[in-house]
Amino acid sequence: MQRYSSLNMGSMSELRYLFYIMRHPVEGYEELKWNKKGSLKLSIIILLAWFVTEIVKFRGTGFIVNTQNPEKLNIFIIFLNTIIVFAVCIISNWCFCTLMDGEGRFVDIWITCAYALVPYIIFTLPVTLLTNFIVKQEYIFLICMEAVGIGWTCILMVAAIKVIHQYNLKKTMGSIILTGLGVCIVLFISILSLSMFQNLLMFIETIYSEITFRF
Amino acid sequence: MGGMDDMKLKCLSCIMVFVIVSSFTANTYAHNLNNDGAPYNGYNYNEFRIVATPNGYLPDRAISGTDCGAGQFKNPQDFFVDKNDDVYVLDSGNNRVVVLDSELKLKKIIDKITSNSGDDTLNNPTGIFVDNEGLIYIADKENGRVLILNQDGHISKVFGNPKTDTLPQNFTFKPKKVIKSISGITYVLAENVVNGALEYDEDGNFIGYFGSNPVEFTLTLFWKIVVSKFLNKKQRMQLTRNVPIEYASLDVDEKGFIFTCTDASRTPFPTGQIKRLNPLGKNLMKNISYDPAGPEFINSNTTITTNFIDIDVDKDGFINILDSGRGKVYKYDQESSLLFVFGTNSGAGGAQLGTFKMPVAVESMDGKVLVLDAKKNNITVFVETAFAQKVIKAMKLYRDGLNEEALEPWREVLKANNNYELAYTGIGKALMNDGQFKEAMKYFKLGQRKNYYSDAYKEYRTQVLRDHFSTIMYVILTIIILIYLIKNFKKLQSIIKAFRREV
Repeated sequence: MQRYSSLNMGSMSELRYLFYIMRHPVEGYEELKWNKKGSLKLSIIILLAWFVTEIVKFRGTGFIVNTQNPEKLNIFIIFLNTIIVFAVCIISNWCFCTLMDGEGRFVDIWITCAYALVPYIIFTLPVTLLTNFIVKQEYIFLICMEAVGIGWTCILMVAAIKVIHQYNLKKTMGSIILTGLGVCIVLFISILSLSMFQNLLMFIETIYSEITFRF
Repeated sequence: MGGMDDMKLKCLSCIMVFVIVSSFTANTYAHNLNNDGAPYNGYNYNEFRIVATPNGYLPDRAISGTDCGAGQFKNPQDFFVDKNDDVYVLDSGNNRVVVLDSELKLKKIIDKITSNSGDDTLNNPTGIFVDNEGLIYIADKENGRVLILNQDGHISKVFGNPKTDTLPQNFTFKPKKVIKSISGITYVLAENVVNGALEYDEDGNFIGYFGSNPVEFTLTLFWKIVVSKFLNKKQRMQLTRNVPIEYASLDVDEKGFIFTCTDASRTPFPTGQIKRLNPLGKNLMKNISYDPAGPEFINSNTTITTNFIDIDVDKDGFINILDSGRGKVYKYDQESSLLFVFGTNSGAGGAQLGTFKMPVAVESMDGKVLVLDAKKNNITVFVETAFAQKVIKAMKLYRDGLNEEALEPWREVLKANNNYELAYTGIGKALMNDGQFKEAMKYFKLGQRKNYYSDAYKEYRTQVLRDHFSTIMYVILTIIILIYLIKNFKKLQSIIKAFRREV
């Protein structure tokens, strides 16, 4: 069911629009789809903010709850876990949703999913700061706060996919499952190609050492 | 043009020199040799990694049968140190018991075993125990009985097959280890008995089982349970049975607690490898959240696997476990903290002092730990180092709750070894009792104890808030007033203007 939003969004700045989406997901995303209010620049900033949040979470959580070995901080792994995973998910979603008669463009999916990450960032950063000042018994409150952030993000993600492709709810869930499957396929093929590449390099290296030892 | 090529050549040669030089220096970080001449390095486990420590025990000497004048031992399977510090060596290959005193000099040899109906011999006995009255208990494995001898070799009692319906019909009784606790009950570990240790009373009657290992619940077991619901009776009988793992060895302390060790390294979740059982058979050993020697136990290296073969509790209550797979002795305290690791299997094929070929038993005397080697046919004596004495002194005070008195000993330990996490926790506890919460927090962080850190932080936070309460309240009040002013700025402005106009 298509509907055009009747609200006048012309004067809203990009940032206020972002928080408007947090409070009214479906209407906000409809605006984005039909009136092209999404901004690619802002979505890149949000992704970078997410990346920084993960690093801060790794190192900045208080001693009482931090289980990570501080020597093992590897921002390349974190980069892989956040931005690369995000990109693979979006690509996989776009692939499967095109096959399922979705109407979303790649850029739109990218922007809406990036906007959906904002509650997570907004909740996780203060929680990480507060873990430095709590006692073990109070940690449960912070877990609740973080859960609210994660839950809100999930709701926004589902709303994003539903609105962008104009699905009904059942088809949205199906497309999410298929997206997960797509990520697994991408992972499998990349591991396969990596090991094949390694074999190729070893082959070249063996031939080279054979030749050098022979002559 | 020539200048550019020159520059490029210079850059390239610089980079090449750098790469070559760095590849030389990259591998030359020297392993700090802290072993004081022993064939093994001391180490311990911190929260995230393995750290080097000074050695706790150094090999002092090795006593073979010929050294003490008793003739060469032949495949000795067990030995025992009784309350007078006499060492009873069960020389299984020669069917005799060699008694040495605390200096490991020959005291006597019991090679004639007499009973009321004539002479008797042992057949590959594997366990020996001497109780407080001087009676010698021998697990005579191949003869299928437990013998109780007097000091002159005369058989006092014989414990035989426990005739019970809980064991299968064709069960052959093969006792491997025997101990007697002060409560008067004799505990026997027998081969192929998976229900725990067999309990006998004073007269040799079988009372029951004691403390068996639980079956580890793994995914394959769960699958088997699910599948067996669909099979008929005949097929179910053909399924392999999952039985618990037998105990490898056991020991008893003065309070009557039984300590057992199991070689559980073959299961995916190795737990319960050391158990401290109360008289009801309940395990009191604290479950540790991370296994301090975990990487060694869980590591499934096909050529070297951990194989716990003997356990011993010394007079101070510390536990020594012998791992015959790696040839190491681990010393734990009863709160599951790893204190020391010593001994090794590798190194000159067991020819060097301090290495083993096939260690079978471990016992302890004051300040010494003895290990019996069945292939080398000797007893290796390990002596405490000064570092070990410091640690044990501090541990005993800490364990009894005397945190204040343990403060100085722990500082001594830290002077010798900065990596000892236990020492930091000990000092932190003493400081917390003293009321110095900020210092205590610092030490708990070094000792990686989150629980104690949380407690200390709670006290510290209360203290800070209490000290600066007035300042904090003033600041909060000012902020509230400011917010109110800023929010209602325009309204206030108009009120003031109206007020001025009236005036």
